[in-house]
Amino acid sequence: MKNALLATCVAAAIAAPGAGAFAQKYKDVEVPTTVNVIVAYSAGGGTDILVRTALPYFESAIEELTGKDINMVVKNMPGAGGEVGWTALARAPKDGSTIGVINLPAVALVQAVREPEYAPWTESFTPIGVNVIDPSVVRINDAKFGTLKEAIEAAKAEPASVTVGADGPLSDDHLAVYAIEDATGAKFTFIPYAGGAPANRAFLSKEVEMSMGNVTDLLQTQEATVEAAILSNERYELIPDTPTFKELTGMDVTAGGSTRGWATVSGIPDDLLAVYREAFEIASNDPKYQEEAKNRKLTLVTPKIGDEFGQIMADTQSSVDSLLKYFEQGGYLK
Amino acid sequence: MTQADVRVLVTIGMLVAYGLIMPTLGFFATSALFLLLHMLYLGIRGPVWLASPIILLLGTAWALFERFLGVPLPHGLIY
Amino acid sequence: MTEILLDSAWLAFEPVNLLLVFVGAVLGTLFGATPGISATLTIALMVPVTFGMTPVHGLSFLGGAYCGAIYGGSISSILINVPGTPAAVATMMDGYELTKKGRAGFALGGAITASFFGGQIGTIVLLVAAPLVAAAALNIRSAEFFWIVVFAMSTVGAIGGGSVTKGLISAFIGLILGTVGTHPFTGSLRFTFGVQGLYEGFPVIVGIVGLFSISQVLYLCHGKGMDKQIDIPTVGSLWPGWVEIMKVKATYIRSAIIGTFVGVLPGAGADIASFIGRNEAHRFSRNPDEYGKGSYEAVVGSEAANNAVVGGSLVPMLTLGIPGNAVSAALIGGLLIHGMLPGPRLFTDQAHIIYPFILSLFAANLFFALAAFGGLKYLAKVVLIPQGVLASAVAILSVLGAYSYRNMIDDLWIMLFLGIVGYVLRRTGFPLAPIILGIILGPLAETNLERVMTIANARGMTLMGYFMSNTLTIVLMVMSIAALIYSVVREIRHQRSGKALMPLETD
Repeated sequence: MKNALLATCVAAAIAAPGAGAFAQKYKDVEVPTTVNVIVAYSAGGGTDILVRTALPYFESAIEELTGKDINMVVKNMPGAGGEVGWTALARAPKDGSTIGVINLPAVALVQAVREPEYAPWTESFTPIGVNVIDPSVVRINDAKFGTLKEAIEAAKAEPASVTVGADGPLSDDHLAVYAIEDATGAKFTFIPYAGGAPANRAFLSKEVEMSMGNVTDLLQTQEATVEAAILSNERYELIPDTPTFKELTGMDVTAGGSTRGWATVSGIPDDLLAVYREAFEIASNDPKYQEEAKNRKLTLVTPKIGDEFGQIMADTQSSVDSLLKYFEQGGYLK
Repeated sequence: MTQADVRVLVTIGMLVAYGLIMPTLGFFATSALFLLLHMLYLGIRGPVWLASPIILLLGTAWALFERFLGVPLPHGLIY
Repeated sequence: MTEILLDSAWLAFEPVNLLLVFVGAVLGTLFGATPGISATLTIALMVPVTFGMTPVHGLSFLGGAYCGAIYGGSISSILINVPGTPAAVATMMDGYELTKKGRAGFALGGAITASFFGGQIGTIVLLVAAPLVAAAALNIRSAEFFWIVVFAMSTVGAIGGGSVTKGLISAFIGLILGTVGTHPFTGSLRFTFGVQGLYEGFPVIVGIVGLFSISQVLYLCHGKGMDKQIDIPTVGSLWPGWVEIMKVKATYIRSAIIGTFVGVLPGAGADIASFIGRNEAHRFSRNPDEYGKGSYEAVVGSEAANNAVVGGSLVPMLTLGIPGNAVSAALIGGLLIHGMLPGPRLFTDQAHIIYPFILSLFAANLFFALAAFGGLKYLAKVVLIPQGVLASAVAILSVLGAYSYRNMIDDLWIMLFLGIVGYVLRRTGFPLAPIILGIILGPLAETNLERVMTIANARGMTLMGYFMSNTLTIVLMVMSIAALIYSVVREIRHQRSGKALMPLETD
């Protein structure tokens, strides 16, 4: 990789004098030769694909910044709803040789139901950055209701009479259902399925009237969807025709969706953290990477680096905290 | 307790030792050691029989997991 | 349509693609034959390898691995009495009996021909009837699926060995183990004793490795003459001959249909299909007394069913985005990395990728069969190696399988624990297959029943009222209860008449 690196450096130096300065700036940073990237889910899954797509770009950005050869290796550590992988990340040596992807809000929900070793996660993990957020989308089919508003009114008038299917329990979708309940005063019957696909099956077969999922779930069930709304402040480019929840119902409900961000164990050297953050920013803004990621249906957002991702982490924790009582009432925290 | 029962218990013991040692020594070294010692214990003496599972089995596992799939098995002190 | 198929055939059967299918099928067979490396794990491990390939190449490669892995499980079942995959547990009972009689080749040949035939039938259904079948699959909701699980449970009588009581006790142990882990409805933990490896339930794969492989290792160590081969005279010819095949042609066809149907059902996979396939073969058999003593028909009954699942499971996965089983769920990763979202529009928008992929499955089935006929002549000789070598090697293969499942050291301990349990149970005459059936079916029954109860409650109905509100549910309910009663009555009658259907292993 040395030659390619040299060529890039030269090219960068000619094109923009600033770029060369980066290499200067991080030249003295001690970089581990091998960086393990912990994925708390199995190979071939959504998070794994995200990591493996980004890795070559991330790797070469770090090499470009520091002028050193590194080797990034994916370590799949599935188990216990992500707890196994995140625990390993929190326990990793503080020399920067291990980074990982944390999945929000799963990491916070696991912490809410049991005492994982990584608690409190917002302190155990230091954010690198995030560029993939899959917003929550709520849908209804034609089993009982004509509009989403109608379904919510029905769930208000007669609590628990409307069924909502979703991946769960204790998933981002589950949290999003409670966000609607909290804001509207409706009370649904939550029906958990072991993953997004089985939940879509239930939605298509009208076993449930409503379903909570993410962007790809909507794309897969569009034919059976009568009305859908995205639980965020603005529309999303992959599904431009889907209104926000507020546009559709007038009620302001947002949810964090499924957020997959890069982080390290807290306490790694500051200069190395700066390298990771800057390299991540360079990688996620690389048009070639973006094209590849979009082709793989990764739900890209404008990269949020460092403290910006830290803010998302804090927001996620406070939204979990504020909705915790619904999990308690539902009998999920025992 | 018959000799056969002892063999079963010793095998269980060796597997427990395997589980304790593997995280430090790594998959390949521990497996090679286990294969060799266990076969010797069971009375296998032919050098071809002793060597072939170590070479064929671990060699294939190495080629497929480490090289082809890129999912490293746990490495330890030796490899 | 014809035009699409012709164009697709060019892509599917061009040399590079065929080579990839071949490599995939052979590797899949090897992984499948390794205890603990199931078809699901095989696909999950191989998805990242296809990153750099074109979509058609990558999917064809994965398709080959899928077909090969499901078939490969039978090899170790037959040769060393250790199931390579959950789908091969049902094959083991008769396959290994044949091996002990010096007819390993015959059993292997039965598994190859049955897997080949079942695989092709499943693929044909996928090719010509996918949208139709998928629409029908949507009628199977939680209530219907619950009764199908009950139906699958009725096979316990036929795999329970000679004693109904012991079979039921084994199944009960399995059901208990199945309750371990995160409660599917409330997310609370049950019986995990702080072991993280148990949070997501008893890992079926690790359970199988422990119960069957490790107990087999201990069993081998208990034998005499470690430096000698097990008392198996020969391997015999691999080709069963047309006469034998035609004798049980009904079983080939019946099991292929069963497998395809079970594959289409969301949530039911090759493991359940092989149990049902074998059980129905038994029910219709002219020689039911041979079952458990080395029946060729029984091997065909389970093997044709589990490979037919491949095509069946891809029907709802490709057309609806709903995987028919865990393997096709892992395969979705292989679609996603090429930007393909499984769902209704896949067949129109991505026809130039999907049809070559489906056509390549025909080649995959052919390739694993050819490779097996060619390679097993040599591989089958493993039954002739010294017991001590076999015991050590199987122990390490088991560790590899159990560990690579999710890189957790906990799994080694779970495996060893169950290995000891399995060994004790075998020595005391308890059958092991019903335990696996219990671990697989228990959680499915519980989750679906609980879901149905919650939905019924939300609609202000009683559970029975909800079941009775749908004709299909009623039909399945009646069928399942009848099958359950039938299997119990049959076993009791055989016990009374003094000839057990399935004699216990007496060694």
